[in-house]
Amino acid sequence: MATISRRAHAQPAPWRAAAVALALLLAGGGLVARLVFLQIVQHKGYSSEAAGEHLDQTTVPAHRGAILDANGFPLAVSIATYDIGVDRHIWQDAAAAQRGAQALAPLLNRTPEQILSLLGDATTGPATIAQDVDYDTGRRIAALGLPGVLAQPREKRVNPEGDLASPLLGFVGRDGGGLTGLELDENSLLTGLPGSSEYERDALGNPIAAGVRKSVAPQPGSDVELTIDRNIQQMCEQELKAGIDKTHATGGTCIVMDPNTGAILAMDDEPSFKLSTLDLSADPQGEGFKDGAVTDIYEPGSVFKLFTMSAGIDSGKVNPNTTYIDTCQVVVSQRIFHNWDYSCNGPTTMTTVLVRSLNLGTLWLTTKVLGPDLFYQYVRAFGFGEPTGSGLSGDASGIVRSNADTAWSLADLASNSFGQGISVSALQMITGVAAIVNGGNLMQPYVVKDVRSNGTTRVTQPTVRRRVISSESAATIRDMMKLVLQANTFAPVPGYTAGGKSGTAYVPTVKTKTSAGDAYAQEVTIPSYIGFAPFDHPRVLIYVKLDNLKSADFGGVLTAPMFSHLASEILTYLDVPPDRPLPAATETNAAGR
Amino acid sequence: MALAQRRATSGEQAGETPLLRRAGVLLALLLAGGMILGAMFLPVLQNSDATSTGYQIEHAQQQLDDLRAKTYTLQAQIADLGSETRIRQEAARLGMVPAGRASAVTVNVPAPAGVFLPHGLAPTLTAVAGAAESSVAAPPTPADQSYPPAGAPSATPAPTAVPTIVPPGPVPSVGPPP
Repeated sequence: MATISRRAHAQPAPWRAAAVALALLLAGGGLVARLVFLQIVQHKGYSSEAAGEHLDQTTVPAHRGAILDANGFPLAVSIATYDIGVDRHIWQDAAAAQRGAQALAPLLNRTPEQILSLLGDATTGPATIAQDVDYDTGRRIAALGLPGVLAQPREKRVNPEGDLASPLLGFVGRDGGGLTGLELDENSLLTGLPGSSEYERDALGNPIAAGVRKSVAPQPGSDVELTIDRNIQQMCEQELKAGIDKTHATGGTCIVMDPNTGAILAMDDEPSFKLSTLDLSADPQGEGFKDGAVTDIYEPGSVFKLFTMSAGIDSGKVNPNTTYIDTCQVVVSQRIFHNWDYSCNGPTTMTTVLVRSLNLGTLWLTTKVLGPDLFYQYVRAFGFGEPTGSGLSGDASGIVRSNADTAWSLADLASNSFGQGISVSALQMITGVAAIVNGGNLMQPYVVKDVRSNGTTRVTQPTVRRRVISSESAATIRDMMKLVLQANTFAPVPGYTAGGKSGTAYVPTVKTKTSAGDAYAQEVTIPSYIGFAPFDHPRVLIYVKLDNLKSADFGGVLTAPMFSHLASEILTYLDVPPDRPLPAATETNAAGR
Repeated sequence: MALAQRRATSGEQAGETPLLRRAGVLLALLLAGGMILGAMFLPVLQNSDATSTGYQIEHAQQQLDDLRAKTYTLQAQIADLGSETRIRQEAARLGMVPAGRASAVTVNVPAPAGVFLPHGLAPTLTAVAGAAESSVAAPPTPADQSYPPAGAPSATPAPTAVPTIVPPGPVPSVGPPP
């Protein structure tokens, strides 16, 4: 007993105390280390996780800028709308779903059954039950606070002018981003910068009024004003549609340009999509959503003779009175060439070559006078074989096969001289002829007149890409174009002196081989006419083209009246005074108006 | 005796002092309590005020959004009403028809001084000479400086003199070159 008592009162061994102290120390150290790890090392992660629990953030979309015509009339604007969605998980409760559907039905002009049927078979995730609901209705739905109902603010793009300039303007997708046309090309300017709103939320996810709030205001997109004039565009589209209907062409192109600046006043291409009847599912590849005036290439035909003649005049090799002997036909590289009317004209001047559009004249000019090097040098200088630099998507380069290419032959040079065997876009054609009309400068075509943002306006300045021919040469060609136009019964513009040139191109095909061995379907043509007015101070350059025409008539018969009518309408609209007397029957000496 | 009086006086003073002291302590306690209550209540007031302001801001922001949305909608409506398609429809509804080709006339009366007349519409030399002769015969008074002058023929031409544009001739059987 005494031994036991002694043991009980004996001092503990020092190593035991040390062990306990060590254990406590280790435990404490471990806790401290864990705290350091959590609070210091992983501070950022945990604090952001904690913030995520009670903070929420929403993106505030920026208002998309408008697309305006040259006079400031809106062609595409955005309005605020709502998309109405439903959280399927919450609407799994049949009673809640029924109550919600009944509350939404009158606002969405649907029956509760129709709304419930839109939920589909899935049991989780959001389901959109209405898109682009007008703003007031969307706000009312949001204010109802129905369980599981989501009202998502959005913007809807509307086109006040309807289908006007559809292929040029393009359209936006469900996310509000541009998909085609100018909506795509100028998307970065139109979109703006979205803002954000960060707020403290309660248990239900609603913002706490007195909680932490941080918001960055969205910056609205810029308004883009075009060089397109809606009235001229309307005239252009109507004239083209009438021309297509009348001739049963498969399509066509109409471009109106200010030749002095390169500004495009109107541009239309048919067939093309219409904004009012847009159906993306009908063309999943999106091949039809293009602006053919910019993207599509074709063989231009005799309008191209203007460039051949420009090369001859500007190089000093020929002048308007230079004569060649027009034989009935010419054989080049074992291919037979003749005039469009199989005529044999004998000694013929260069002016007559253009006036009568003689193939053998331009063929003589390229093969006997200019040679391939000089000819293709001018062809490329006029902008063929490279994009126009318009900034429009799909800006085609065209196909120019020159003597530097392996498969080239002299027959190519011969046919290129009158616009066959070479592919161009309509925009390239009008830009090239604009260089002749404005005195020799190849302009960069453009459709964006200015960009307005936050009270500032950035104006697009006309850009001269290069000088192609001298002003004297350009004046000579213009004089020749005046004679060409005057020789055409259908082309003159009443009250105005003008210049122009027609063209009729055969369409290359791989299916039909003619007896002459050409890969052209000679029963199908592309007639076209390009002209400018008034002659002394050109205000407009107009190019009209019809596609795949099965008609015996030539371009000068079919498209020249279109040019004449269009030029007359546009010049009247632009208040351009006549520069020559009207025909006698239209003039009056009445002392008054 | 004097000592007794002094004691009595000091006794009275001693009796007053605890009362005052007690009142002072009570007042201090009340003040302290009030301050504590105030300090407790102040955050409530602040929070209430902040919450109220927060709601006001939220409401104002919503109003701003609403007005902005209405502005965009109204802009689109204005654009719709001003669209060329709608103007054409309205014009047709009012019985208007598309204009024919515009006609240009040559006047033989010189424009009043300072009035610009486009080059294409300027009177011919012969017309000007004729007008000058008539002005010699009947010089206009200052009151006649308006256009057209009082002595000039009617500004409305006779029906037979209405200028017309002759449409292009019939389509020839042989077209021009391509």
